[in-house]
Amino acid sequence: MSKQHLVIDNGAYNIKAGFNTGEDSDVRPTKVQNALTKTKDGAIHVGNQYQAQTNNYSGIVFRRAYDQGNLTSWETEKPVWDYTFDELSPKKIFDPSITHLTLIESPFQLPQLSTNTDQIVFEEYGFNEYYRCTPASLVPWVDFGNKSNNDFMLVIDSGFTATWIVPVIYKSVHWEGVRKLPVAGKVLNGLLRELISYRHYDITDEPILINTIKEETCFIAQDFYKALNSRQKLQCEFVLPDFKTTTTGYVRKPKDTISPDAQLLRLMDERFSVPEAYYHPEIITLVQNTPLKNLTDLVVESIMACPEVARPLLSANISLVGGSTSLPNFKSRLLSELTKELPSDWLVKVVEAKGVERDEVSWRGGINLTNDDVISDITISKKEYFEHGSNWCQKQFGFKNV
Amino acid sequence: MLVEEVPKTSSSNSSTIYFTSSINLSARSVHRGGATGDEDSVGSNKKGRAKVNYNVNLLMNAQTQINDESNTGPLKSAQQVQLERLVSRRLVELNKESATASFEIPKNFAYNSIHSNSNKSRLGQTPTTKRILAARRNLNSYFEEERNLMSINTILGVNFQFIDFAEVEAAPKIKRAKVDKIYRPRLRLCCICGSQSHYSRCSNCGLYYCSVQCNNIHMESRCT
Ligand SMILES: [Zn+2]
Ligand SMILES: [Zn+2]
Repeated sequence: MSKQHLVIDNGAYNIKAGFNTGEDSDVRPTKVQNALTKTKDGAIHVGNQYQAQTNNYSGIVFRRAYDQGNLTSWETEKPVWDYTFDELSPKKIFDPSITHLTLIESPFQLPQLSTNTDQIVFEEYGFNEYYRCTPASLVPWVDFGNKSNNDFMLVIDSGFTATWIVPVIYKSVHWEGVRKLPVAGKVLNGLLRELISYRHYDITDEPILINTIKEETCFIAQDFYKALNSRQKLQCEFVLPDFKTTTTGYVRKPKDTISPDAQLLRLMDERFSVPEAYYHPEIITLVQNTPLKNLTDLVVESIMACPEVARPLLSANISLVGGSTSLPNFKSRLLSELTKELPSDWLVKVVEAKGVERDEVSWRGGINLTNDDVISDITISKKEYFEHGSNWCQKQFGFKNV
Repeated sequence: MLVEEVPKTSSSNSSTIYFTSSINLSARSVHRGGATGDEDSVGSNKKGRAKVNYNVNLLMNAQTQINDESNTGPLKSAQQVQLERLVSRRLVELNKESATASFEIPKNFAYNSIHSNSNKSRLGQTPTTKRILAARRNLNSYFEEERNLMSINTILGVNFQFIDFAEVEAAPKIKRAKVDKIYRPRLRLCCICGSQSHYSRCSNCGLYYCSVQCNNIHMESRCT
């Protein structure tokens, strides 16, 4: 069998994994919940296995390999990877010894934890070749059409754990400009959980439901105060799961008839007050003078930490990555906030990759990278790994101290 | 350098690691007054300069940028440190996925991959991976082991981007305009109904309310 390329974006929420099949752009990654889950009956499920347990969603508990964005628990990650490989190659033999792995990990991992990962890759799975990098560094490899300048890109990556702002210049991360906002999918879920549990029903042990409600109802207000004043008009009704007619719950459409004993959640300001945390982090903390910078502050800082000539180019080539940037209005609100802050003669623009979901941008970039000759120059082979020892990978792939 | 290691004292079975941090030196007078923070301990080194020992988790959460000149500028006030700690705790709370704590993997648990040729795969193929797969360690313990303090500084530096209000106040007037932006209008939302609040905050707990009715509900239920 000939050599194959596998790209894994090892996100804290889900894994995006897939082979480079050589065909063009419409291949999509397999997505696997990056967790072990325990249902109320005590059973433990790996990856997406829990999805067959829809009637057991209530009270489900997640165990993740990540601790504050760091991959600490390989005893949790290993079964999920095994499961992922089974999903990827359900029939044919999966042979790491002829496979090149491109692994995407979040920035600024503790070096020792990255080294653990390298050791698992070579010693446990026995991959033949390996390249490890951050999500943002692969974004310039994605085709954003001919109007974009991929040599200068400002990547805003908002996933589950945090929002990273990463300038990527000539396809390398400009580490001095990297900023992090501790607001992303998980914090929004936490806020929504508190609000709904206080005002409506106790959903503190319903992580899947909370996430569904967020995805179905939340949006970013273009103008927060305006939205607040017209919140009656912006209200929607979410039908809670009864595990007979619906297992996930859904937003009621005007004409939907529902059973008389259905439980409804009437959501108004919750819909946009929660995501407002990106711009008003003081919402999170309930502390009025919260000393947290907001998304706008950090994006401006990030740009200003880059060489002067690069700054307007970065603002004109912003790329949104990660599932949380799929919140409705994410882009338009960001543009209007940044336009207010940045010099008026700078173009502020978000570039979009046609047909690529926001949470698949980095994975797509990884696939494109493996089509390029440069991949062989940056790859570490199993032979080199055993020659140079485990620190070799961190030296090649690790972040730069700033 | 913001973080330097403090030789460990007798508390060998403590699960936390302590570093001394120059960012918090100005807090010493307050701490000496007896109001010691819960997880911190304060001592003096030979030069008479106060050394503040920091839990690395707190440090991680209460760190400023390290690559600007603020190192030599005014140090953080006790109030600022207090605030940052509060925010960090709150974030930990919000980042929990459910009220029920996560679970331990049972000893007999195994995922049987269709690709593995042995069912021993959970144990590890080499001594190194055996160790990694059986580690059951938390983030703190990895920080404890990390010898490269440069890396720790970089990681902690990027972790949270706090605004130091004292620093903002102290900025010279010309710079002030630039800095003033940091005082963007803060959102004041009623803790009960979510409306905009024009009242002052609850004198007891500091949360906002929007009306007498909401305040009453707040006093009855939410006020701690
Ligand atoms: Zn109110
Ligand atoms: Zn109160």
